[in-house]
Amino acid sequence: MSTSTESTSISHDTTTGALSFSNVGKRYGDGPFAMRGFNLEVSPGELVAIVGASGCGKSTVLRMIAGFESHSEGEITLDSRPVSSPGPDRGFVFQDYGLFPWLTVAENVELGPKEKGLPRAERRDLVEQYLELVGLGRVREKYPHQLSGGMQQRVAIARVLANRPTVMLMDEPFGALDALTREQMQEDLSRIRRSVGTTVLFVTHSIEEAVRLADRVVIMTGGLAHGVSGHIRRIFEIDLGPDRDPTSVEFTDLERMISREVHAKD
Amino acid sequence: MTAIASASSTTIKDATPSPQPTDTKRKRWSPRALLLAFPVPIAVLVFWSLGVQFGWNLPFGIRMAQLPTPSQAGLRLTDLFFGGLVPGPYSGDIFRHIWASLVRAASGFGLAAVLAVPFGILLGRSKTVTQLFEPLINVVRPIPVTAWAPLALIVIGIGDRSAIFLVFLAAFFPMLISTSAAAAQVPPRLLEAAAMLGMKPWKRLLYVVAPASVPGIFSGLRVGLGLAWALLVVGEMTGVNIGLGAMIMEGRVVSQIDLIMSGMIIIGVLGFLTDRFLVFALKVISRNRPVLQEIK
Repeated sequence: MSTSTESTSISHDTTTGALSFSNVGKRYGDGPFAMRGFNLEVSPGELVAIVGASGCGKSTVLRMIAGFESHSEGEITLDSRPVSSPGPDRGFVFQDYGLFPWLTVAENVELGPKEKGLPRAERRDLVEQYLELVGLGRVREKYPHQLSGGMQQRVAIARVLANRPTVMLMDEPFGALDALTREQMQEDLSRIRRSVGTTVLFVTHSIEEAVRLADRVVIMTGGLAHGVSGHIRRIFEIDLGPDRDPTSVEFTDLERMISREVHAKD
Repeated sequence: MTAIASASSTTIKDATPSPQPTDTKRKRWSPRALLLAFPVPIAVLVFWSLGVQFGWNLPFGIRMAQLPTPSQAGLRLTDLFFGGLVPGPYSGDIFRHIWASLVRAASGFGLAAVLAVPFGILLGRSKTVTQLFEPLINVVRPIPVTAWAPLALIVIGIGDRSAIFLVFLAAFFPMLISTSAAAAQVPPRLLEAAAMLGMKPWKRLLYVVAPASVPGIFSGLRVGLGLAWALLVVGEMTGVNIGLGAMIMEGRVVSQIDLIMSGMIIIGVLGFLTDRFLVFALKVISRNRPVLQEIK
């Protein structure tokens, strides 16, 4: 596909997608707060990665933005409007893909535009465009179970982007993939994200993945198992430019610093 | 019995485009499989005819001398379809009995399916609906449907509608329970995916919960169909004149055991064929989509 069509027709509105958390906390019932005091501003078009040990509440942050879970205190806004129930402005990419097994690849991607009530021709164009973008033009009529994990996750990404969301939420999207596929997906996500320009919030276990992809890396720590509510420990700016070499000194230095923060005791 | 069991396992494979579909089909029709299909039925026939000839007595007090030989039963069965072999009221006249039974079974089963599947989906997904109906269902469901028969005969009266009602009742509960269990177990992930793509809650019932519940709905339909035939015979045994159950009952009244056995065989075959039809209908309705695949 040519890069010119990518940047002209696929690019989303780049002035929207500002996420804001102020003093967000989450507790289940009357229990202690699983996470608390979460403050973060994400600017439009930014890719922010959240890393942290299991149970620190990083997935919960994503699920609260998506509207799958409610927050117990504080405020989450997207472009100054508080988020509530799930909606197509906040696309979600699950670790286990969440594709509809009885729909073909094309039908999975078409579902969002169809719910929006777009006419058939326009839907077909969107499906075409986004399947091309993720490199899956040729498997349009296949069913998810006939595809590899990496391909299924590409479908899931295309499905979210076809809805032209203001923010794309990705919950350990490449965690179930083998190392080679994972690396390829990371490269593709960088490329896709540059051409689409949507805000991305990305949760991962892998510090390398975070440093490779993100503009900023948020380190979360704590969690109920540690006796403190989950919270942000530190935020790193990643100024490594668009083409990052994981073997470079700058890269590995950052990686080491972040790793130290992730594993440090409170 | 074995036919039904093997049918169910193979059809599920058929409906799921597995990586090597030709492989499983070849195995099913291999020469070895064909060869092994014959010895056991033949042995049963031989045992049956020897037992009748020598008047064997089996456990449960089965007196084989009472039975017709396999060839007598076969003769009667042939006569029911083509006539001219065994003079009598049923000779060559089986089709209107088959038709009457089929219509009753289909009406009761169809009505039960049309009500049980949507209701089951609501029951599986809505706490309120569950709280409203579960106590009643739990009280009514354990009553054997055969115990409803005398009540139905008095309240509804002898005839078609009684039989259809019993078939309906028999098929309804297994479909309801199976559908609601399947609907309750739809992976939350799929509902979240639909929600974030902008699908409204009531639409999710139709476009996510229903297709994701197809394996459960379908096995409920099959169990329901089996019970529908069972209760059809019970319903037809009292008062109606046409139908396979009525024919079997008549066979008992006039002590024509070959007629009874022919009726049994025809009902068995019809049960098998209607089950196959259900499998076929699912394929047509789902347009061969992978709906029976295990959903994670």
